[in-house]
Amino acid sequence: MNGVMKMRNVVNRLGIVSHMPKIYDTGMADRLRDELVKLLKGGGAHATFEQAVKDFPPPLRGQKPPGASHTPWEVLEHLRIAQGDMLEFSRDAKHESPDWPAGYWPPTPAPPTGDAWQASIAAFRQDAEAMEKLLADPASDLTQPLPWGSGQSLLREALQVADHNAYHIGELVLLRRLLGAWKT
Amino acid sequence: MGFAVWIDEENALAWAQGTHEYRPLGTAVIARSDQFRPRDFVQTRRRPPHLRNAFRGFFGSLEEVNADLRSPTRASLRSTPGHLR
Repeated sequence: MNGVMKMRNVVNRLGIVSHMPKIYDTGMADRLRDELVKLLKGGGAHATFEQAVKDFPPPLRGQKPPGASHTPWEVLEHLRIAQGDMLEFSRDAKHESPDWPAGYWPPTPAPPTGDAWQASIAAFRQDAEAMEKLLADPASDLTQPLPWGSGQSLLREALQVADHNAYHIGELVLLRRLLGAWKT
Repeated sequence: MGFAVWIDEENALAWAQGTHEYRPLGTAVIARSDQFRPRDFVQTRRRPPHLRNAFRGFFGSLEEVNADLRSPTRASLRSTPGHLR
């Protein structure tokens, strides 16, 4: 048993919360960063964000197919707003989240202007890249609770962003299918 | 970032709890035949323990919850997931 293993055993026996993996096992931390970035980029298990929004016909962006709870525009904006909120919460102690749940959804079922759809996509991409950079930065501690949170860590936020995005990207794909605008 | 829902069949009530981890919304209770609104949620309200086996499911938005409540089919219920107990 090496020294690190011995120290971990002692820490486990004493029930001490430890950040030993960060300190002593940078290889594992690097691999975890790589896996998280890969998870956020998507494509491993289902359609990506880019595939879900590619060539989305403008007349259908504000349409709600029978049985659906949201329009594609509402889902796209919800993706953007929620991801942006989790990103800012992860890196800015002074960030103020929108009112929930109303502030996490757009006020109108359809894009208010012709440019709004593309602007929302561009903002989503920018925030996704910022989150990936934050995770890839060796100076970012993945497991340390964020001082301004109530137990959340960067790792937890990254997993939540990936989980939330996956759910609503799937919803976007389903809406496209129901609207007859999904090319398989 | 959504809602967990329980159905109290005996009293014809629906209970919902916000699941956003750092924006606590609290818990709401309405008539089973009604629809949830954001102002129904109260941070100090607690879901009654007798609903342990009356969990309806997780939903991505209040609209999805309300669409499920409007559904004419009888809701299938199960035990509450461990992390919500």
